[in-house]
Amino acid sequence: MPGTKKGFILTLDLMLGLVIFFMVLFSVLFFVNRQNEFTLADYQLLRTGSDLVTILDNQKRFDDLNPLSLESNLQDLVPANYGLLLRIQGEFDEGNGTIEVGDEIPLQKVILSGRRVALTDNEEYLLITYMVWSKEQ
Amino acid sequence: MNQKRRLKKKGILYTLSLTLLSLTLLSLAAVFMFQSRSVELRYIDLSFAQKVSDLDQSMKSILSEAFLKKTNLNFSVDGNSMNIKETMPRDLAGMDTLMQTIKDQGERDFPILTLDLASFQDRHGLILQPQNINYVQQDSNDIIVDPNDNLLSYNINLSFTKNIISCEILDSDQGNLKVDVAITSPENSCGFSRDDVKFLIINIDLGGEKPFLSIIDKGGLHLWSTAAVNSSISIGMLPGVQEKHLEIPLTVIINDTMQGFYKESGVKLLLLSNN
Repeated sequence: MPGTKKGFILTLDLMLGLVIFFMVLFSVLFFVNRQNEFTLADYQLLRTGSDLVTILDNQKRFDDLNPLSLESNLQDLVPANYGLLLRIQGEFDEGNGTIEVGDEIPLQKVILSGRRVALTDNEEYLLITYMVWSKEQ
Repeated sequence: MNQKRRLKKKGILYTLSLTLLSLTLLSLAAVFMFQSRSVELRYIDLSFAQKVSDLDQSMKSILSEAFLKKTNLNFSVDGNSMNIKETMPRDLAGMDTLMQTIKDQGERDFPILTLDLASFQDRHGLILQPQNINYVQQDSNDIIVDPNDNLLSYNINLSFTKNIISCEILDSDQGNLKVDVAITSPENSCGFSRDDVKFLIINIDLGGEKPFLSIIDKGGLHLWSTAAVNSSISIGMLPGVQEKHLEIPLTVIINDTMQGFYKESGVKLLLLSNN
């Protein structure tokens, strides 16, 4: 009889130990996953990037494909806590068909990207890749 | 002995309650984890939708822009009538080339995109929605308006640069179309007006070239001219309940088999009044 009781207590302790072990494991997994999680803030960032390029397009800023004026438009338009880089590709001579306008891509930051198309005044097709990230204030 | 047994029982009770409490916490942690994963999946779906929306909107925007840059049409919608002005013969090759370039480059950059230009290249022109009235530039010398129950009237002005020698008018009443036609040339003119037209054929002789205008029941219109002509066609239609807009007859298809997403839509040209 005393042996049975000891076994019972041992089983209970083992169970408790296992439960605590899994709790720790779950917590670790939870926090590790959170590092790579796609969050509402990331989605918001992507939307902001898309909106900024749409505004530039609606303002006809891609029509003459002038990197200097685009750069100054971006500075006026992009909020201070956002970083934005535009990569514009097409069949034009400048930069062998690739122009980059905007901020420098930072290291160790979540960078989200999307693509849109535009047409210049010269009826040139442009592929615009926007990369957007949040800046620490 | 009794006290020892009581202490042992208390110990078991503590251990049991601790186990239960930990199990509860463990379950909660699992629920949080699954919930967080499911929310993340929603955001991933939303970001995919955002990327599709970027492609869809910007592609339609450049197609519409390309059309407006290259078209010879001048159009406006006022209340329940649409007015389209153009000059014939027309050259649609430039527009076809630009549309084909956009198709080739767009499909190269976005494998999920297909631009169906077949009906556009076959039947250039405009579709007035929601009445679904098709104004077709069949080739360089033709204007066609497809028969449609929503058509009520036509007000047509044709201005030829060559002199009219004669106008032969054949018409039949007992229809329900109101038609006003004014055909002018530097020296002569002819015209037609009736509000119960079933069909109408006007053969014009320009001394060599013989343009014609025909209107059949349900409003099907065909104007053919190899001679230079400025045309202005006002189409009266039944009022629609939805917002009016013009569409170009081409289809944008976005098909992502990985995400199980398929979208097929036309290209809206511009938003018009609600009348």
